[in-house]
Amino acid sequence: MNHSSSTRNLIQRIGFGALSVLAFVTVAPIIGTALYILWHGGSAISWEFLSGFPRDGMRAGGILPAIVGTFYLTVGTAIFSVPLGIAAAIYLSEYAPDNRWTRLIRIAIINLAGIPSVVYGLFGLGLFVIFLKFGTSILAASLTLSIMTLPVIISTSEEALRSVPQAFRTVSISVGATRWQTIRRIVLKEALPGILTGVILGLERAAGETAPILFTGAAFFLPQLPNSHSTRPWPCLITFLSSRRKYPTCRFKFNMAPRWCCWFLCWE
Amino acid sequence: MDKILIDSLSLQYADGTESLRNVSLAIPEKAITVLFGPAGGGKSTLLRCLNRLNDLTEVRASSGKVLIDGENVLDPKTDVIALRRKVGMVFARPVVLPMSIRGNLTYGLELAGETRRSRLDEAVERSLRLAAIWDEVKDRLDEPAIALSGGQQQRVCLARVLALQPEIVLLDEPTSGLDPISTGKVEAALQELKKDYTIILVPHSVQQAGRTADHAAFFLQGELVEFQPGHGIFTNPRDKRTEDYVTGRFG
Repeated sequence: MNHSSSTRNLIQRIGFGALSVLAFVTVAPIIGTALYILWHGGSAISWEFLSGFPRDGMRAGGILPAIVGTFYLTVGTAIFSVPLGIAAAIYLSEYAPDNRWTRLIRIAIINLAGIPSVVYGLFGLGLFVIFLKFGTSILAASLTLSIMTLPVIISTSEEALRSVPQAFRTVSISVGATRWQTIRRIVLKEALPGILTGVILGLERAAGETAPILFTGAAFFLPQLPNSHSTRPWPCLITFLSSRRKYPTCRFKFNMAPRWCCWFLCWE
Repeated sequence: MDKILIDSLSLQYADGTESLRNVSLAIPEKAITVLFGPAGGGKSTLLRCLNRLNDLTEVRASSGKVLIDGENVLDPKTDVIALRRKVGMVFARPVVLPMSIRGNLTYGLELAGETRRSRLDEAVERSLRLAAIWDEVKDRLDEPAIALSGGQQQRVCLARVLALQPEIVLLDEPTSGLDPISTGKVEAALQELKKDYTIILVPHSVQQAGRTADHAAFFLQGELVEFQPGHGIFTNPRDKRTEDYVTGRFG
């Protein structure tokens, strides 16, 4: 290992160059896609489009019901999943003993995070829509999405709580704090950024999900806002977008392909 | 007069590490009692028995008594929160809580229910002065404590303990990570503190043990080998193992 300084310099430059190229390759498609959409579709976005109701069997008009529906759905999901998820993470990280039982629970949570969303959808259809008789509604869809979101929130929050140094806990308890005071005043405060990351990741997944709400909460076409909020089906942005077909082009088919794959996987 | 009476205390951790074997020791009040010896001797374990911090660790078996002012603190009925306010502890690595210097000092008091601003301010100044760091931080009490140097942080940790006006202060190798100047400041502060507090110190070296001790106990592999009031243990050890360690033949 006796490189001259010029050789080392060259290696350094090649490495740096390679990393720059890789970074560009990663970022370019994202920027490209955004620009392409803005270029071709920017003119279509208007106040009427955002605030209007769909007309002509969704071939014209606006997307207001879908925006409002997505908003309700996300808020509903947050209400059910965030407190429960953080509480579960606190229990697992701070109180639960490390034994076979809790290890099993952890593995189950991690596995749940990887289950295809359509399975959650069918589960929600069975439990909330049919068995509990919530019908196809925001309530059923929120609960379904909450179940789907929980594993993500629990596992990232638990990770965040665990990364708070043990020494903080020991010190806090040594000056006369109870366990709960330590968690509330020190541990949660320190873990908050990590927990928020988990919450955002989870809700993001919920807001962008199609399959679960197709079964439990989404309406295909509503020409006006429903008057009862939680018990009626709502249109949602995502189902709206994937069904908004003006021209049956190949782009549309390409768009649907992954979803059909899921269907097949599920039914086979 | 004896503040703490340890009576045939034995303890073993669940993972089989460092343990105490039948330790009996009387610790006099308002003096510095030094517990020294090679690592793994049970010194930290003993300290952690005195404020029941071992409750946080899985203990396989323990027996014996620790009497503080005549009360057995190992009794399950002991109010551990009150005990920990009475028996403060400074750890080997300075651990400031993720808040301001002032926040670190008032944390314990606020948990104890003190809300009066004047009392809190008074406690902050008094304890920082006692820990010999008031002059260095008085103008930046609201800055994050983590910005201080290691030596300053450790004195803030000492001040945090003193803010609760404990009766006993436990120090577990408090200067092991500090430079000689900071170490000197901490040791000087301890010499002042012993007028009012019962201090138990685990030193990080035999030299420090010799410098600071009013009384000293030598621990080896979970056993109390020798305890002598005063400096006798360094000048005239009775046990061969103590002599070997003090003179530097092992350790």
